Amino acid sequence: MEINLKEVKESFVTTTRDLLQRSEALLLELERGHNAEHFTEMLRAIHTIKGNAGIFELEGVIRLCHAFETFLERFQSGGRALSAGQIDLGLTVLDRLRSLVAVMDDPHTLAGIPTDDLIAQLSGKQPGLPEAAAGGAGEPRASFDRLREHTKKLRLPEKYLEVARSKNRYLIFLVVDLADQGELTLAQFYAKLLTLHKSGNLLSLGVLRKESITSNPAGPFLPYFVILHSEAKAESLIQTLGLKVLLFHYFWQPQERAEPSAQNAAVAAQQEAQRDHHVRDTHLKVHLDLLNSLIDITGEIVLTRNALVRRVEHAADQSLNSFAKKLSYLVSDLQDKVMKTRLQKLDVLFHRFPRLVRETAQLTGKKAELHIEGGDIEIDKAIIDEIADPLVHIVRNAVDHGIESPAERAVAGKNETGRIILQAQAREGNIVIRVADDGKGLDLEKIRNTAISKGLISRESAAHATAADITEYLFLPGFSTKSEVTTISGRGVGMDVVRTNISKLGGSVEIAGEPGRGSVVTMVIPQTLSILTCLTVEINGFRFVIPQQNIVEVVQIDASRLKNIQNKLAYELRQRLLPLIETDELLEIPKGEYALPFIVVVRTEKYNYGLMVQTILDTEEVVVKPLPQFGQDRQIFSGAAIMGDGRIAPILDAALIGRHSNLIANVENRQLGRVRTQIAEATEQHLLFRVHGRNVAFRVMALPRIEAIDPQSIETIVDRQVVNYRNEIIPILPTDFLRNDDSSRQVIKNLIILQAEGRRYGLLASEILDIVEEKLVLRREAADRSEIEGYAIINDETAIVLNIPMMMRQAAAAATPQLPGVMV
Amino acid sequence: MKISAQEYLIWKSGNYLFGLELGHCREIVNEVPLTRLPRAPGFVLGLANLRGTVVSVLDLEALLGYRKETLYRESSSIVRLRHSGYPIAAAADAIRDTMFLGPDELEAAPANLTESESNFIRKVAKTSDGLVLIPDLASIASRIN
Repeated sequence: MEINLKEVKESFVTTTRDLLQRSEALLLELERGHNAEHFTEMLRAIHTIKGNAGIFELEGVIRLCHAFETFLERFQSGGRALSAGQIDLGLTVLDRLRSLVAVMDDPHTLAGIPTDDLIAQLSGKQPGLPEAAAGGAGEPRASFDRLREHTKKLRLPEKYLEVARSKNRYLIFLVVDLADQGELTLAQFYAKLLTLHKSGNLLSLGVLRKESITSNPAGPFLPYFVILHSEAKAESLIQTLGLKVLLFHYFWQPQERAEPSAQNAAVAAQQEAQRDHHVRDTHLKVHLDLLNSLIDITGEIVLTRNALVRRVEHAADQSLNSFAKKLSYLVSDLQDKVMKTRLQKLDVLFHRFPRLVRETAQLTGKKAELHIEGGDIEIDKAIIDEIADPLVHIVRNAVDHGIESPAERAVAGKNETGRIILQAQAREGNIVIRVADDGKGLDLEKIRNTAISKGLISRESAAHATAADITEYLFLPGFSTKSEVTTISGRGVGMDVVRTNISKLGGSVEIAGEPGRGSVVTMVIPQTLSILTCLTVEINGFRFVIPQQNIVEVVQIDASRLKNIQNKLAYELRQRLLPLIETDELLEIPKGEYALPFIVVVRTEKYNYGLMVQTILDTEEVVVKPLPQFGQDRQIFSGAAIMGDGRIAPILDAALIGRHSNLIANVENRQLGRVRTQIAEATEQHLLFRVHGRNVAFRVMALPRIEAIDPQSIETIVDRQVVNYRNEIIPILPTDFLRNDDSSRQVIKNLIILQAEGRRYGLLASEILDIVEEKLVLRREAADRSEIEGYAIINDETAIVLNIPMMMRQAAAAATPQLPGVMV
Repeated sequence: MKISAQEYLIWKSGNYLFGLELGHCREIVNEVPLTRLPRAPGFVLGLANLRGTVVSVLDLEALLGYRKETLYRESSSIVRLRHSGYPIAAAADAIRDTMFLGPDELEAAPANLTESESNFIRKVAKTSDGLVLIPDLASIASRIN
């Protein structure tokens, strides 16, 4: 794992800034009185900064921090309060640290910022700047010692110092007695001040409280203070102004009048950098509520825009149209940006994984390295929060269950260090996150046996299970192949919880693996939660939306296939019985003259059923809003959708409906399951065909479409064959591994069209032989390719039986970028 | 010392007049299209889209048990109530005026109320227009969330 130095640096800068801010507040608190806790906290903050600065070898910061620590410790043990001058010094140190950290990227500027002056002051070797110069010739009265002491300790705003420093001028604080200015009238005095103000030299002025100067004010006494910066020394300035001055201090004196010293230049540069830094510091903390209401309002603006654009299209005034278009673009842009405000980089989440992998590997005595890709992909914050735990579980599993021990790996001829790849990709509005390992893969037999022995699945159904079915067992509640419980995994919080959490987000999780080669867990999750793609349906004027992610297909009802099983309606769909829900009854829709001719087949992790509806409308993106719960038992909506036209439609929650309708979950669906098995067994069909001079068969649930094909329409793209079928490019499942020597003369005549998960695949055949309706006895050898399910005698000839689902998965995987080192 | 009168918004729903302190009313919207929510309790007239917020519109008469089921309609004027949690509004046939009601006009709810009435009615006010029911916002809201 490569450490992202830039981000570490950014985090250092932010942390340090916060710590300095806090230290400043603490220091100011300390000015009010000694407080041991504040002292300790400040020491800790400075110490942290020192430690962090060590990572970046910021010598100046380290030394300054160290001196400051020593300085503070002296006071901590003494329990004495800090004097104002010491507080000043502390604040100057904090400012200097801030400047140092701000320019840490620029070694030249960094080297130019001095620290020795402050370190010397901290160690008490040199008097602080404020004490550097005071009083002088122009001072008329000596009785203002108290005032002098008092005003000397004044902490002037930092910006005054900055002005003086950057302009390299004297920063003068002077006190005048307005009641004793001789011939000078008050108006003249103000005129003088005004001149100063206009030239930009006057920084501040005001009345001093008499009591702060003398306890025995004699006669009229109007002390007035003036803070100004000047090129001239105070004495000459006072002379020029013709003022009678009680006293004055310099808060800053230029080092060299002739030219700015190196120190000043550096300080000026640092101020410059600081200003730059403020420009760069563009991140704001914004409350999520505010963001959410922004999103709401934007959604509303979009809908209003849509309505407006529709109206304007029919307007006579064409110029309106161009305005509407412009508005339309702007609003789209706004929506885009606003939606992005909730997005966070996946890196936020991925960062913790290198450590997790390292620790898990240590605990399990394995060697593993993690490769992370796609951490820059952005995803809704709410989703990041939700997938964090599942992902931790999956990655732990990859180390604990996937990767073998170094010894086992050596025997298998693999590198002792296992590879784990954590990869994120954005695809069609979804985010695909894969965790792949090059470990031992899935042991299907072991999974099958575990599922049986834990009573999760019956022996007979496990016997019929395909490899894909067995993989699904991993998601059963209570499944865990590890026989012993470790601290890492095997605590019974298994993949079922992962899947539940992910499907709550509208995502899905799948596992694939190959013995000896490794396994891959694939999570598909939506990028944002606030917008959902839904199918709109209608019953008797009531509109509802069904989330697209739950919909398998939409079927028009063929009355002859409606079955009534134990007073429950079911539909025979491709030789399987699908439980049906009379949606109008479920929703308590008033009776009326309408029929329900369509079935929306929905699937959740637990349920698979059909919702009968009257009309199928559009698929559209809707904005999701929460809906109050009027009593838990009545709840079948997951929220309300605001449609493009501003209408509201409740969102049907497929899982809640399944639970509410007392549908038997797939897992425990024994009654229906038995009927299904019977149907399936009765109609176990194999399609027998010939290709590459061999007899080949595969199991079919329903007869696939078989087309005559012109060999010319088969094209080879890179290493894959595709066929143009009714203007659709269909990938051809490769069967080259069946090729034998005399098959070069074969003529492809047929194309078998297969369908899975919404994708179509083609299988080439030179001849279609038969459809066999008998139970085959399969023989399988360990060395067989995964595409081959086994061999069987069909019609007195040996036929190769293909594992079509596996071939489809491989084709699907080949169509997407391969994970290095892992074959799926 | 007399406790000063408060300003109430008065609206009519069916045969009843309802009143609520202005501070509890967020806005009045005339003729909002309503979406009926299936399986909702009888006192939920429907959902309204108020500038992107989905508001549950309640039929106070049904809530008080004066009508068994709410009479569904395509649209209604509503008084959106001010409270935290899910946004709610009361359906209104007609918005009357605002009115200052002091302790002289306001009375504690009479003892002979039905259970649902006593649950939701805090006070009644005798006005020249007739009896005005002052519902208790918190109890209404508690039925929703």
